[in-house]
Amino acid sequence: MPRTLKVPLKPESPPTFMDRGPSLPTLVLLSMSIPPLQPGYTMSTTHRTQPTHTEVLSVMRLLADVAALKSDPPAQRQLLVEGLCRMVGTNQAFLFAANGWSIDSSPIFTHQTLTADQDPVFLQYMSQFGVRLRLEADPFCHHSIRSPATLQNYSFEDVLPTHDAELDFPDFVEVRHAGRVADGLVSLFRTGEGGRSVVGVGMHQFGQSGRLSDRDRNLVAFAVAELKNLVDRGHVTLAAGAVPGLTPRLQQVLDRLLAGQAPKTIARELSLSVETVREHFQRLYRHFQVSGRDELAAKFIGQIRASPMPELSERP
Amino acid sequence: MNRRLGLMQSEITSMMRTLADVAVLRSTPDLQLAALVTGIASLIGASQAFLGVAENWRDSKSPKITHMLLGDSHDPAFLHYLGDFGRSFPVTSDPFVNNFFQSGDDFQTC
Repeated sequence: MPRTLKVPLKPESPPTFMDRGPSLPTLVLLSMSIPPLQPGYTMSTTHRTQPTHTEVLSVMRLLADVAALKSDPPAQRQLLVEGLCRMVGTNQAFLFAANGWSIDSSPIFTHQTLTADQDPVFLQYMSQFGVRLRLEADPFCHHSIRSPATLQNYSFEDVLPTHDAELDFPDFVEVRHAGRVADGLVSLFRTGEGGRSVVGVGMHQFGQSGRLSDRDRNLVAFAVAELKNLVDRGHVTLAAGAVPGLTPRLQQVLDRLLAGQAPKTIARELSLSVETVREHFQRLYRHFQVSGRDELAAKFIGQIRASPMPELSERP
Repeated sequence: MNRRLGLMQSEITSMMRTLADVAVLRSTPDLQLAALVTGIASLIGASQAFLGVAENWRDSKSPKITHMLLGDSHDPAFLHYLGDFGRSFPVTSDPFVNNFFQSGDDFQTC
């Protein structure tokens, strides 16, 4: 029996124009040349499997623009997913980050950023991802947790190779078998102390859009490897920021609540009684003016989605 | 001595990483320009680099140097030349700038 997922979502905010990053002086004298560039990030579809120099440049230009938004992490993340989605030409893209990534502990989901175009069923799944669903209940994350590699790239063929995959990842397979997602790939990398923070970038094709090509996969793999480089250099902020007005204890409870942990689990991890955890829940609901956990989760996702959605800049 | 003329992907990536480092510094223009000059010089192994900015660049008018930024290491004679550049003599007296001034192209490498 399919599970019904209900999460109220805020309407999307209208796109706003974004500053194009560092301004150029009137005249720049530099003793280095670069080849002619195509405007913007858009690329043509070809049968090649490896990115061309022009495509590499477009990826790096996008990441430079992303880096320039360092002071505005939500806008930074939104530009990243919108830019990658447009560059690869997929229907949808998302970015998520989680902390506490290890085989022994469930990661704490921190945030996700989605592109504007959503399949409603898939959006419901994503809304539950890391909130009610454990991250490792997603096949891509399931594989990632068990892999020692710090940078991983998966396609549907990699994570759902067996005929009985429905038994392992029912929610994911339910969405996919509903005819919503035709193809997808996810790249994940670990970062931070001990590699316990994980960042995932996903691309999906809906309905009749067809399969992703090897070129798409290689392009995303290259882009995510470079994104990891940016994160490791501190140019992209993916860690969850503390919520103003919350005590450290309430922040700890909030992180775990958003990760979908049960009160009993939270109580054990924080050495509190279950009653105390429930009292903290009520304080959080009052603080955020929501009626319950689902509304709180939707509020956080809505905060990210309601952030300014930059237009990709046109290059002169 | 490398005889290649085109850039390899790794070189493009290194260059764009440097420009990302520059882009991050947008809130501090002085540091941003310094990172640009030193970063590009380091990439190509130049012993000296500079960045000059001139405004009012029109055919009928000599441009005015607004500011100039030098790399870390300077040759004294070249530094002296750059010190006069745009002050004691017009920027169009420099052969590179003169070429640029005579051309209608927006982007040139001389």
